[in-house]
Amino acid sequence: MHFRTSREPFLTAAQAALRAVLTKSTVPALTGILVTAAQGEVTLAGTDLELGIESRFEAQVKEEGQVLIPARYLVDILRRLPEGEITLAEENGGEHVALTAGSSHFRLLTLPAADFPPVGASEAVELLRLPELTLRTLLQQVTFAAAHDGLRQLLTSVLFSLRGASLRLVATDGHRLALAETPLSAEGASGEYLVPARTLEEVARLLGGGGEVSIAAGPKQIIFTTSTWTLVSRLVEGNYLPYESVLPRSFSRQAQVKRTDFLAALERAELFSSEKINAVHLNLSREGIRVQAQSAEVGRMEELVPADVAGEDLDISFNGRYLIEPLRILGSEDIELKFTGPESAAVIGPAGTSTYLYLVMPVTTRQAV
Amino acid sequence: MDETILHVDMNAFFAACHQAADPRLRGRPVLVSGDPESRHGIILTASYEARPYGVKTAMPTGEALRLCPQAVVVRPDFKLYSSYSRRVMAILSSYTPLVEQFSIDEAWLDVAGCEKLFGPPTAIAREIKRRIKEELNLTCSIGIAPTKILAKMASDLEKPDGLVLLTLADVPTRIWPLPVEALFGVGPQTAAALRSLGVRTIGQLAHYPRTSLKARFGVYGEYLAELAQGRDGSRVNPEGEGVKSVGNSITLPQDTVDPEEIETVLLALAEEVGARLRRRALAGRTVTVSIKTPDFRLYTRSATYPEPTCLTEAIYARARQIFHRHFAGRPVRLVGLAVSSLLPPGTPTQLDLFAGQEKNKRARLAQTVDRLRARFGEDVLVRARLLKGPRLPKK
Repeated sequence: MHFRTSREPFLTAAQAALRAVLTKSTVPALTGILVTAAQGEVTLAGTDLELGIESRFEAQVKEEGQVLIPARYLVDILRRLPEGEITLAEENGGEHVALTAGSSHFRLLTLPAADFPPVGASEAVELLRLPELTLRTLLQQVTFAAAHDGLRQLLTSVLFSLRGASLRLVATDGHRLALAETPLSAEGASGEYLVPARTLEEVARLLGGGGEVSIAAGPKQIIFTTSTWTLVSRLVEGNYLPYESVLPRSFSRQAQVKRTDFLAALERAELFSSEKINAVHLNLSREGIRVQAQSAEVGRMEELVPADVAGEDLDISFNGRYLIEPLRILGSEDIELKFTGPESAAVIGPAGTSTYLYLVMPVTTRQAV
Repeated sequence: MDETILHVDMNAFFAACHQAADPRLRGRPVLVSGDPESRHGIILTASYEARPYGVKTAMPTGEALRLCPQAVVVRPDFKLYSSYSRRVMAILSSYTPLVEQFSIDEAWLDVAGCEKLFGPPTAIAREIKRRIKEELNLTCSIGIAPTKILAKMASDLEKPDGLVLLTLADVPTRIWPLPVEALFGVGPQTAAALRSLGVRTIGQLAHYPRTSLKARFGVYGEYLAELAQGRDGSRVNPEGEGVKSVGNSITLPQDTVDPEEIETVLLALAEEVGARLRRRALAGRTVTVSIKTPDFRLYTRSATYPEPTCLTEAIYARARQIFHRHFAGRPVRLVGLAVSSLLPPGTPTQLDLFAGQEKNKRARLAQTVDRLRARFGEDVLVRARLLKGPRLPKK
């Protein structure tokens, strides 16, 4: 193998592949990046067996071939090199690679490429295509609501619900739930797939180009592909929670509020909630939304956020984090809050849209029975 | 070492709260009974007016009334107690942030460095006693000492309405003559074991060879010897450190390996522990199951869950899981169940989207059952599974 390219695309591709590489593993091959040069293109692949990332860039390929290079060293070397041309060539029948950039010469021991597991599914079927930016927005609106620890593995995944003409994403950690939907330009497949949230964080990181992303699925894997990268992930097995049964249909109180005002008040309130559940109290009345928080160690705060409130007055408490997180990612400035009661789920979303929904359960203080 | 640690112990707290809240009860003997309708319900607290008649805590209500027929019997009101408790703690916190609440009616304060503001520790103690009496109509005993354990023992020396300052130099004259049971950390079992070594007083414990204590009780033995010398390294910790739990145990009529029988006992225990948690508005994350085998060895296993609970069904399910994981197939003569990692009343609890409906239904059911039992007696509703099987000693 022998190719020539410039540093920039090489580094970008290597950093992308590195995201799937384990820092330590009993299988040395899993700490490497597989470099494949063929037909004017170089592919870098990394995998931890659950997640695989392949990224591609154009290069002047003088000799086709494949080598497995320790990922960390490859990325660190590329990062410390100045902008310019780089050549990578196999030596000693693949025992080493020589990396040359300007007057710098590196010689790296390779790892046994034969031990590198294949990335990607053999029998994948394309499910749908959509613009990269559309998928990125959906992921940003939903993924954060999934559970972070693995007590209930289903909750650490995001549901991809394909419904013919639309794609719906749902994530919940059992306390709050985010749901986003987008219409598809072409009638697509139907089905439900559970994708680990960790995978989707990587997908969101890679997305950003102006092109399209294709989503395909094999029996146990889901594959995201753009013109420059492919990401393959294990699917989570099982049936998702019956989330539709907890979506409230009617509300007794509503409030319209400016996103930045409400968010800023909640962020100030967060300072006063040192307990494990950082409870923020909301009082809804004609005046607006009164935000209150207190902490035994610090003190208390109170603030009135102007809002258009319809319905009876309401006192309700939430984990402040669960309100701040969705407000940070919503694009719209006009936010609608809907409530049914102090112990029922509340809904937060951009005013006047039905394609996004964020549902959150309140916090209560137990009383003596 | 400076005597800057105060231990504040409220006198006859439950009874005193009723007297504070209802002036008609003041100066009269008041008995707080676990179950006033039943003569078998036990006395939780007797006011000081009732004590000269010989009424004691844990005595059956019937017996207490025979000794003191003019006494007023009241039902426990834990909301009332926690509201007074909060007000007491608020008074204590106005002198120092270093207040460690040990139970609903006890707390330690470390007033080191507060002299310039409030005067010496004895002056602070007198001021606290005055405010608690004037503002809340309650009395307390305060012990002042260089360590937490000594302060606690000092507050025990004069009751009610006492104030005792204890220095390390006082330990041989005031602490050593006391029986070992009076030492914090010595329960009936340890006391019996110590007596078998010929150790009856704290002084004897203080002079007993360290190595023998260590051989017999391990690290705990060394700890007790330190305490007996009046030394203890623990600090007043506002976060609290007392391992608090609610638990109970049942000795079976005969040894058994039958899992069904043991599960029934676990359910009975879960029911009782759950009811006590709910009465105090507590919920706990840790469930501990212990068994005693026919050779009198005690084994204890516990598990901690992310969600706190006070519901019988959940406690039972967790206890069963622990039992089957660790003890299945063992012959058992005693089964114990405890819930710990308790969250105090008023702790914010995050509601669940999915488990919510089922759990809320269970909680409402438990509340209804508890109310019925409080009104008509424990036996008004019995789980079918518990109709036959050992009955619990009332707590």
